[in-house]
Amino acid sequence: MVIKLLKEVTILAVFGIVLFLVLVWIGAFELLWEWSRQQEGAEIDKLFILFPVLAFFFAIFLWLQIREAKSLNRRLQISNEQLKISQAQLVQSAKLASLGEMVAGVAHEINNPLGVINMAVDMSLIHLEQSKYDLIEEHLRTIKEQTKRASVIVSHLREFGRDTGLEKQVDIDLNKVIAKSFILFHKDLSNRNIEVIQQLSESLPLVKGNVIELEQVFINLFSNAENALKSSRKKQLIVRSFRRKGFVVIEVEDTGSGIPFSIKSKIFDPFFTTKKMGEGTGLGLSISYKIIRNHKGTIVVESEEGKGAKFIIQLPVSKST
Amino acid sequence: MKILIMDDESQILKLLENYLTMLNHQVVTASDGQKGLELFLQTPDVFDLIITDFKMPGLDGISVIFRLKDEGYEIPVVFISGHRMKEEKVDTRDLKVAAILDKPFDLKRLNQIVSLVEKAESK
Ligand SMILES: Nc1ncnc2c1ncn2[C@@H]1O[C@H](COP(=O)(O)OP(=O)(O)OP(=O)(O)O)[C@@H](O)[C@H]1O
Ligand SMILES: [Mg+2]
Repeated sequence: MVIKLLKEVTILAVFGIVLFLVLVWIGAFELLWEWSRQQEGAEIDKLFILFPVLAFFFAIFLWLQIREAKSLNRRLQISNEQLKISQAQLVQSAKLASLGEMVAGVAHEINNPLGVINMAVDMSLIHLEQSKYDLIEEHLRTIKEQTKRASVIVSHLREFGRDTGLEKQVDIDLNKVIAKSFILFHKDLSNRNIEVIQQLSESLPLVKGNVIELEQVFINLFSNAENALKSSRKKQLIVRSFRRKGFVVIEVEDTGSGIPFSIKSKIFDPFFTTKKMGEGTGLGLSISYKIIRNHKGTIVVESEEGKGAKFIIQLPVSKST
Repeated sequence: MKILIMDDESQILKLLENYLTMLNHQVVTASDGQKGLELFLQTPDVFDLIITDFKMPGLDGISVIFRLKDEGYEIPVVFISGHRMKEEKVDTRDLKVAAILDKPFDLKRLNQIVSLVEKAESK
């Protein structure tokens, strides 16, 4: 703080001195001019004497400009840093949002079996009083079945909660990842009358990667497809998996609204969305893109407006298979 | 009372039917909204209560009830909800909602509600 003040004062002092010198110079110039007029035949070009003065002013002007540019640059750098931070925060909150959606889905999926179990227990108690044991046996079977259903969802949840960053890349069967991603979507999709067609290769090679991240990619793609299918008559979601040379290819295709040519190049950009304010972050595809790239794969889209969309993912086959 | 139950979960349908029949109600079940709507419209005047899941594939519970309201039938409803956070956004103020039951719920609670509706209707 003090140093800065000192610097400012010095600069002002230097400026003052320089100004003083300039004034002296101009005075000297006037004298010289007078003198040259008195001297017969001595022709001194006025501009020639004026030149150093102009150059001097120009130098000061330049110096001020550079100073200004420097401080502007510094401010730009700072706001750039801030932008990066808030962007990272937004990415994080988008992840949390999709986690929130996931939790809502899980709650729904667990409450269903719990509801059945609770009712079956109530009925068992009633039938116990009435000594209708054969009916109780039936209720017990129902309870067993529904418990299994709930535990599938819980085990899925446990995996989702695992710390992703520290997890090493493992060999993954993408068919399984797709199936798991569907568990949470199943109810939503059938509620919206979306027909799911799965054409998964039975001899799909493994890929190296992070299960949870890849799951997130598929969940994003399914949720986008679900959105695109909202107002279309034919509601199909087709998922294919197959091998092509050294790659495992996954295609996620829908018969939804499709992507207009004008925005096709933008959909993978962070924050690009056609959803209403507050309904989408526009981060789904950009996060997916990043994840696939981290897996040394590619993700591209084929689509025409009104004709649905097809997202194609290619991931290299794991070397250990 | 004559009760129409709509739920896409067959186990729930069966258990609810068992229970309410045991309590001397007449029960008709439908495994989705469309079937429920058709069943109701065949003999609209005999029903005293509808018990329905909020969300169902195809025509969901809430849409059926609004449809019935549009047709001029205002009948008491008990909604069964799998996850309130998602579903409670729906505005049910214009409907005759007797209760919204969150899964899992006790059958006794359902009985209480059904009895209340019965009392209110018989006045
Ligand atoms: N299957 C699809 N069919 C048609 N358009 C799509 C499809 N998938 C993505 N898009 C377009 O790409 C845009 C960006 O998708 P992205 O997943 O990145 O964000 P979002 O879905 O809008 O928001 P969020 O993922 O946060 O809910 C969408 O708004 C939509 O316009
Ligand atoms: Mg999205």
